[in-house]
This record gives sequence, C-alpha cells and structure tokens, in this order.
Amino acid sequence: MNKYFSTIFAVTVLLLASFPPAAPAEDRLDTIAKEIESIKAENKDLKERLKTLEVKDEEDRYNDASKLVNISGYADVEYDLTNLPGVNDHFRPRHMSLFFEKNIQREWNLFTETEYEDAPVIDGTSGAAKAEGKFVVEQMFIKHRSGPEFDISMGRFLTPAGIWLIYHYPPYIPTQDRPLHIRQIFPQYSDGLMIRGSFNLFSSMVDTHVYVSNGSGNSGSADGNSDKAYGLRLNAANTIENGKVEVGGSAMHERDNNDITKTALGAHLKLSYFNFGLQTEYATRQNDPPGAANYYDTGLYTQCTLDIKKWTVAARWDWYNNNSLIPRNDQYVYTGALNYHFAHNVIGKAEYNWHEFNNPATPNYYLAIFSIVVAIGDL
Amino acid sequence: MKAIKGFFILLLAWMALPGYAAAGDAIAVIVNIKNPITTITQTDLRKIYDDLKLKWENGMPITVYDLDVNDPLREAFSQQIFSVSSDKRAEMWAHLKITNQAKNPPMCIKNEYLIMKMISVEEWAIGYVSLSAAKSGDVLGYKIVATIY
Repeated sequence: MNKYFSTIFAVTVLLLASFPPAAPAEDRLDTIAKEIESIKAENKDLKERLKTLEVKDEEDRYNDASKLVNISGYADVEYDLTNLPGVNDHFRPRHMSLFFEKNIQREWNLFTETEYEDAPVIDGTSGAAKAEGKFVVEQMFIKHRSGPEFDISMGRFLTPAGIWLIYHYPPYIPTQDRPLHIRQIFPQYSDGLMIRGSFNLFSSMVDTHVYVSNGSGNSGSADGNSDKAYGLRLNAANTIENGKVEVGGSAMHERDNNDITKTALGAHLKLSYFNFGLQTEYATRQNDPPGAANYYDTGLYTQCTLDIKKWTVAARWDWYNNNSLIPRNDQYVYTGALNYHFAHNVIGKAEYNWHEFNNPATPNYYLAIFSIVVAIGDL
Repeated sequence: MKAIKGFFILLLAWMALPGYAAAGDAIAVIVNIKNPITTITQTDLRKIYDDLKLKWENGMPITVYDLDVNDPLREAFSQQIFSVSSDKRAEMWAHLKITNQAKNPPMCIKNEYLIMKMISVEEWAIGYVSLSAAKSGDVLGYKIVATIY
C-alpha cells in the first residue's frame, strides 16, 4: 500500500516538475509592458515615415503641377421659356468654356479661355457652308508677374471695367442673363497690353488696371483704325465687421472704326455683409460722331443676393438707354432668381426676367430660364 | 409637466454648448518661428485670406496656406472669420483665378500636419490648424499667433 502511494507521489512530483515554474504576475506584466512599449516605438517610427512620405508626396504634387497645364472650365445648359414673338420655348446648350493655364516660368504665365456658345457647328463639307453658334477666344494672354502686387499682361483680356464685365462666370453669379448695358458701353474684351498694380492705401487695398488696346470692334489682327483705346479701372476694397465693401470707377477713351470718338465712364459698388450681397454699376458713354450730334448710352443695375444654406435668392433691377437722342428709348428688366447649390461646383438656377420698354411699339416680354451649371476644375 | 421641464433643461443645455470650433477644437493660426510678429488680429487675418493684405509689415510677401475645401476645420475657419461657408469662399477664389484677378491665392494643403510642416520651413508663410495639432509637438519651427474659439 505504502509502495503504491509512494509511486503516485513520485509520479505527481515528476509531473509537476515537468512544467516550468509559473512566473510571478508582476514579471508577466513587465513583459507585456515592454512589448507594448516596443510596439508603440515601432508605431511612432512608422507614423514618422508615413508623414515624411506625405510631405514628399505634397512637394511632388506641387512640383508636378508646375509641369502640367492646369485645365478648368464650366458648362451650362438651359430650358428657356418666353412670350417674345417669333421665339419658341427651347432647350439651349449654352456655354462650354475651357481655361488652360500654364506657369511657364516662375514669373511667366499663359492663360487662355475658349468659349463655345450655343453648341457651335462649322461645317464646310456639304454644298452650302454651315455656321451655327459661337466660338470665341475670350481670353488669351501672356502675363509677367513680378510679385502679387504687380503684373503685365499682353494679348486678349477681359476689359477691366466695373464688376460684371470681369466677374461674370455662370457658376459664380446668380443669373444666366446679364444686365443690359454690360458689353454695350465698355467692350467685352480688349486686345492689347494691361498693367495691374495693387497697393495698400490707409487700410484699403487699391487695385489699378491701366490698358491700351485696339479698341472696340477690333479683334485679332484687325485694327480698323490707327488710334488706340486707353482705359483705367480703380477699385478700393476694405473689410467691415462681418463683410467687405468695394468701390471703384472705370474709364475708357477711343475712336472707333467709324471715326466716332467714345468716352465711357463707370462707377461701381459691391457690398458683402454676412450672407447678404449688394452689387450696383452705373456706366455712361459719350459718343461723338463726325458731323453729327453727340449722344449718350447709359445703363444702371442694382442686384441683391441672399445666401441661405444651399440656396441663393437674387433680385435685380436694370435700366438701359442706348441712345439719348431717341425719345422713349428706355428699357428695363426686372429679374428674380433662385439658385440651389447641389455642391460647390453644381448649381441649379431658376430665373424670371421681365423686359419692359418705354416705346409702346416694342412689346414687353418675359424670359424664364431653368439651368444647370457645372464648374470643372480644382477649387 | 416633468417631460416639459426635462425638455427645457435639455434645450438650455444644448444652447449652452459652445460653437463649432470650440465643440471640437479651437483653431490656431501659425506662422514660421522666425517671423517677428507675435500676434495677429482677426481683421488682418481676414485681409490676408481675402487678398487685401499681401505683405508683412517688414515688406516680405505673405505665403498663405489653407486646408482642403471639404475639411471641417476650413469650414469652421470660414464661418468664424468670414461668416460664410468654405464653399462660398472657394467659389470666390475660383472666380478670381479665372478672371485673372487673384493676387495671392492660398495654397490648399490636404492636412494639418503638412501645413505645420510647410510653415516650419517657409519663413513668411501663414496657415491655421487645430489647437491640439499645433500643440502636439509633432513639428517644430512655427509659433501660434492667434487662437480662434
């Protein structure tokens, strides 16, 4: 019996001895803590390496971007309804504009904008040549920029006058239709040389544009007269509590291809306050034809906007008289618009324009436009 | 009655909650450590990010950094400084660029760490990051010149 118990005791002792002694709990915790520290150190190292790679990636992105041509643009399509005699309600693939920008050197830059309006067709393959719509190079200039406050551009540029003539791109304005006097008093674009200088005066930023160009009605290589047009724009901007205010003036003097001496003057005001915006422009031009009486063409509009989350509400009053010698020649447009910003680069617009004429022989009419506008490119 | 009381307590508690940036984090405006400025006013900040101030007081040109348009911190910054959304600000810059009127547009960087890194190497740069990122000590070579809550 004793032998039997002795054997069991011996086997038990051997079995117990075959297992390693259990480490004290504190030692195990120490080991785990060391392992965690080691993993943490590895993790930190990996993070650092990742960050270095991200910085390199970002630097590469800028270096690569400077080698590429930056392409952006916009497109808009509409459905127009009107009671204008002879015009049916219609779909309108209105604009497709492409901007190409290339930084050739640090100071040298090329910018172009080609615009296709109303889906142009130029077809000379059939018997009768066909040309529909409009294709225009709206901007094409080479710019030398010696710093943020000074640059010189030569080529075709948007005529620097007022607000709308410059800031008119559909993704960033509330209406598809422009005020009546825009492009009538100052030309849409000018072919020539422009100098921009900006400086701080007191607490305001003053932007000046001075330019010399072929003048209105002369584009590309066709300058129909030996005179050049001269122009100037001044704009002073300052911040106000929760907003910004801009005031300015524009002037242009030229003799056109019909020997009419034209002197245009304009004034503008733009106010942003929280989500409210006010924009107004006045322009007038004295036209002096040889051997005939002077006349003026004059226009004014005022536009208010209110942004509420993804919505923009706009209202505009617009007046234009294209010849002061003609009696009852005033025309007015009353506009209401509603925009919905599906995203920062996709906007749906609905607008209603009521056109009213002083002359009873010209019938008043409405134009309602429903449109979708998209902006292409990196914001 | 108890439910109404509870509702009002909840409503008051909700109203007492701080704004966007403070709820998450404050915004730290940072410049390079070598920049002599020690503070910047919100007016100057607005001018810099609105193309109305192009140079530091010593005449050096300002390099402006911004976050990606979809970054929540950029939204908070736009709301705090300009009282408009970051989308609206991005649209403004896009319009200035395509009309040849942008003088000193901000360079958009995809995250806060990279902004800190860029500012730490560019002497006349300015940017903003969350206060916690600015104080993380991940990057050296910049200083906080304003805190926006």
